[in-house]
Amino acid sequence: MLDALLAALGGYLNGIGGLGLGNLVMIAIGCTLLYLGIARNIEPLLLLPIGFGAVLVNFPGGGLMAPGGFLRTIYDAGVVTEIFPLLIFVGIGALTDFGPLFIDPKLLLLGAAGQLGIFLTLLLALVLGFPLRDSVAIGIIGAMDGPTAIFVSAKYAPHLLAAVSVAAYSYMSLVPILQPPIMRLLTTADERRRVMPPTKTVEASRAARVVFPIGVTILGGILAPQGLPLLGTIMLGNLLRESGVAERLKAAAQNEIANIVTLLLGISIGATMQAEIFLKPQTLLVFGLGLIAIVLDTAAGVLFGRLYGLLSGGRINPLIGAAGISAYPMAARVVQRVGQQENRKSYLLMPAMAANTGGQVGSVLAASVMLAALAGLGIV
Amino acid sequence: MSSDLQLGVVIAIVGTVGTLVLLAVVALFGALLRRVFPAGR
Repeated sequence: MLDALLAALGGYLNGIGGLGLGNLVMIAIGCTLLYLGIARNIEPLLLLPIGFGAVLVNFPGGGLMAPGGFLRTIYDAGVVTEIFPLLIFVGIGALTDFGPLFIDPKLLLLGAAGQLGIFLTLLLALVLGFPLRDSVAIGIIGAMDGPTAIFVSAKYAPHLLAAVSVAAYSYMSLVPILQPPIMRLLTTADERRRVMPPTKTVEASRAARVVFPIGVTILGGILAPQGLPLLGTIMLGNLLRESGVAERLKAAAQNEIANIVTLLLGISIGATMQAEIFLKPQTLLVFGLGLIAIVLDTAAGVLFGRLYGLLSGGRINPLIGAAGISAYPMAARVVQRVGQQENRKSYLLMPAMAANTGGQVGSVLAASVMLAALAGLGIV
Repeated sequence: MSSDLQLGVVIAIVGTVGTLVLLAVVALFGALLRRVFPAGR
C-alpha cells in the first residue's frame, strides 16, 4: 500500500523533477514569443501557436512529441510530408493580386535582385562551417517567405526548422524597421527624391489574370520542375481567385484552409523547439545569418534599382528595388513611406507593388532553382 | 576550398542566374499577356 502510494506520488511529482534548466529557458522563450505576438502584435497568427507549442513541448513528462503524441502526430502528418507549407501557399495564392506586375513587367526583375541574400548567406554559412544542407536551410531565410523557408528547411535540415522558421517570420515583421536605414545608406538624396512618371495601365484584363497562373505553372514545370510543389500551389490558389468560377474554393483557400493550416503549422514548429534541439550556439548563428540575409536582400535590391535607374535615364527611383522581396505588400508600403518622407510629390506605391510581386514570385523561383540545382548535384 | 564550399559557389551561381532567367521569362510572359489581352477586354 505504501509502495503504491509512493509510486503514485512519484508519478505526480515527475513533472517537477523532470524539468531541467534548458526546459525552463525554452518555456521562457515560448512565453516571450507569446508576448511578442499578443502584446506587440508581431506576426500573432504564427507567433502565438509557435510560442504555445514551445511551452507545451518543454514539459518532459507530457510526451507530446513522443511517438504517437499529439504534436508528433501533427508534425509528422504536415511538416515531415511538407503538406502544411504547400497548403499555406494555396491560401497565399488565393490572397495575392498579381495585377501590379502587368503595370510594367520589367519591374519584376527587381524581384531577382531581392533574392541575392539567399545565395550570399548560403556561402557565408558554409564559410562559418555549417554543412551544405544546413547552409541551404539558413540561406533560404533570405527568401523572406515563411512557407518557402519551412518547405526547404524541413527537406534539408529539419533540426534547424524551428530556428529558420522563427527567424524568417520575425525578420519579415521587422521589414519596416530594417529596410529604411539600408535604403538611405545606399542611395543619394537626389535619387530618393526622384518622382517616377505615372503608370499608364492600371488594370490587367481578366483573361490575362486567368492565363497567368496557368502559364507560369507550365513554364515553371518545364524550367525548374523540382520547385513545382511551391510554384504550383501558389498558382493554383491564384487561379481559384482569378477564375471567378470557384468562389467557394477561393474563400476556403483564403480562410478555412489558410487558418487551420496556419494553426497546425505554427504549433508544429513550436513543437520542434525542445531544449535539447533549440538551445545550441548554432541557433544564435542562424538568427544572425538570417538578419544578414535580409540586409543583403535589401541592399542588392536597392543597388539593382540604382542600376535600373541609370539604364532608364533616371526614370526609375532606386528605392523601389527594396520592394523586390517577398514580404508582400509590406515592403511596397515601406518604399512608399520612405519615398514620401523624402519628397511629398513622389508616389512609389504602384511600381513598388510591381517589384514586390516580383519578389514574391522571385522567392518561389529562387527556391525552385536551388532545389533543381541540388537535385542536379545529387543532393536530395 | 572545401568541397561543400565549392558546391555552395555552384549553387549560388546557378541560383542567381537561374532566378534572373526564370523571372525574365515570367516578365516576358506577363508582357505578352498584356499585349494579347489588353485591359478592358
